[in-house]
Amino acid sequence: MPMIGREAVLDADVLTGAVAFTDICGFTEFTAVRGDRDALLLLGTQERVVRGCLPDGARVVKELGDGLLLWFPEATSALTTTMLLQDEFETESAATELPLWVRIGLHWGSQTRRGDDLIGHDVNIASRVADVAGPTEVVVTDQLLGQIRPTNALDHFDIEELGPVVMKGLPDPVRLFRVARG
Amino acid sequence: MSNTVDAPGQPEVRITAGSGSITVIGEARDDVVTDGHADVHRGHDGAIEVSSHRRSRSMTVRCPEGASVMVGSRSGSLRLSGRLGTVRATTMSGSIDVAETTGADLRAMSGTITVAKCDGPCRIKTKSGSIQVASAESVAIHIGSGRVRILHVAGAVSVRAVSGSVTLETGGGGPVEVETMSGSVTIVLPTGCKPDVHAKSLSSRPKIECERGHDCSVSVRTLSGGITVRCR
Repeated sequence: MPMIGREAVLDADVLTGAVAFTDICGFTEFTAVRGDRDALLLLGTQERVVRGCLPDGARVVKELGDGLLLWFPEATSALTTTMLLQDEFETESAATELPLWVRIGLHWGSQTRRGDDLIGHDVNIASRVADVAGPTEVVVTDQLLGQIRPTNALDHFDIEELGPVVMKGLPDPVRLFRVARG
Repeated sequence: MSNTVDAPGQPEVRITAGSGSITVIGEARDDVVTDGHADVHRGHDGAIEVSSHRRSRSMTVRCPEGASVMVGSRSGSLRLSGRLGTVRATTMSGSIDVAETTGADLRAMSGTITVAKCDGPCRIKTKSGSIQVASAESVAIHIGSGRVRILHVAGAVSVRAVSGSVTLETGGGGPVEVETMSGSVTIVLPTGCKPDVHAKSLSSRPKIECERGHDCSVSVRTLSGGITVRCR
């Protein structure tokens, strides 16, 4: 193995936590119709809402065009925060007429730190889960639900299984669940 | 390995497949049977698990009427015929065709989705492709690009479309909310219905061709596209 690769591995730091991907649906079309200035306003609104809702210990890992990669140290706050985010996005959309049509995918697993970034199979799964979600939705994996403590924290939500979902680049199907306010 | 599991009543059936068309038939029977290209067994949570042996083979699954069915597929058409309970289906690419169900959650990355009859809530999401719902109790649709055509909805309607035309005929029994980025929106209400309409388009003046009142609520917003609200 080349030395540079070995150093990269030795410097890696493996975390366990919840990863969320957010994505604004129709951002390209919105920019085409409303222009760059409104697009910046939309992105800024999303980021402001997210930073205002993140609990202690959670962080915005990086921006991904019109989406964000978020990390949470524990599953329950990840779920409650992402549900709160959707409420806040809807409130902002109604008040500003900016279509914050955000979909969110959430997964629990291990991540490898690479500088400020996080990489790994479980990060990739979270990204694919977001693809399955529609605007205003939070879709989560069974691994995430299995980490919710106390389990009665789920009593506040309607959890609906979407079934075994086959996703791009992933060899095995993943059981996904749609979470809505109960 | 088995092709049959006894399943009286209205079981939950979870189907996993790779590529290839999948046909699920709800009919009068007390078991779940496949055509030999799949394994069937009862899972630890009581659901009937069906998985295809090979990544790309067509498969037919026969189950009792009213069975709740979940299907996950990589590509290929999904056809759900006969009378089924709640249907939840996702596919990376390929069409989804549902005949009769008590509720549906249908998701595709690309492909046509059609529902003939849904006696409960019908939720559909596709990134690209057309959607047609002949009859449903209520409808919630998210579509990236493509055409949405809803022929009859008794209750609430919610459509969010990035681009493409939206045409819907509603019974006026629930609120109608349609939001699009671009594309025309046509809403047809029952004869004589006097809706409370809130319509806004940044590109053209909405055409409200029915008398206004408070019989039902209609809210339409589009950034770029025409809006027409009329009665039959």
